[in-house]
Amino acid sequence: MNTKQISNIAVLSAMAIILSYFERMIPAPVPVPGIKLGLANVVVVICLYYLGPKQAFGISILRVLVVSILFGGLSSMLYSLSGGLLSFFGMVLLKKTNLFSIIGVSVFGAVLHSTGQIMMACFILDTSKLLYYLPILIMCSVIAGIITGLIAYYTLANLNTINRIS
Amino acid sequence: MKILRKTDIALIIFFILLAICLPFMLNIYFDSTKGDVVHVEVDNEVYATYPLNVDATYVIQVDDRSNTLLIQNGVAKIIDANCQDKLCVHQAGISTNNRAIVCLPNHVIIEIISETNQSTIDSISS
Repeated sequence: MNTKQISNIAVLSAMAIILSYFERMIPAPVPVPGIKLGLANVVVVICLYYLGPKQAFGISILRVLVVSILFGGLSSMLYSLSGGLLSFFGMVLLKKTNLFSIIGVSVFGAVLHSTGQIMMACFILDTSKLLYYLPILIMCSVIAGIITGLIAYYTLANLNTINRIS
Repeated sequence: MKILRKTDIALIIFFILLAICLPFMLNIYFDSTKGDVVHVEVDNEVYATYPLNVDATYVIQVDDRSNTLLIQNGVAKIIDANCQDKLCVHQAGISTNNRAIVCLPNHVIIEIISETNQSTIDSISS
């Protein structure tokens, strides 16, 4: 890992952390508890395409750890970690198939993120009651995934233009 | 790189269909049997069981975690909690069999149970 890669990871991690923080300040557009757009996932998706899976993995782990330490707690770290890891590996696998565009990968990641968190919560509380919440979470995740996918797509397009010029 | 491929649309439709079908598969939302008792669990252990037909307010207190449960006209609702997010307070009241309100930070599960018509979903675990 060279210096450029390390600084890339640092900058992108900082972006993901700030986006997580920023997201906490804007109220959710739907009256469903716990729904978030997942702006930080934009950074992970961009990194997955722009730098590669290893760097993207570093960013998703770093982001979860730092955000949990700063704003959450131990239990929120467990939820984010299970969601983040499941979502990350799902996205890597889906991208490897080369069958899906960035939108599909992002939607898949968003759905797996909510699923992972719900599974962890079910495991911690030892109850199946939380599965009731899954359908609405999947629905919201699909919408959030499409939006974050679009953001990632246009950001990547512009990043490539900048690289061509410079 | 194409922005949207046919496979993406298929994936999105699959998830939407899954979200629509899951409630039917889990047999929830549609069980309109009125419940009889409110079952309260804290830290995976039974804390108390309250009758649903008696209007009352209960404080569920374990250590420094507290949730206030209001039972009114056969509907159970959490009206106050000392957790950070207060998601449980914002949830709508529950009255029918097997519906539940969960407070994740406080590890509190409030569940409606119909003693006359036990649904199948928890028959294995209980």
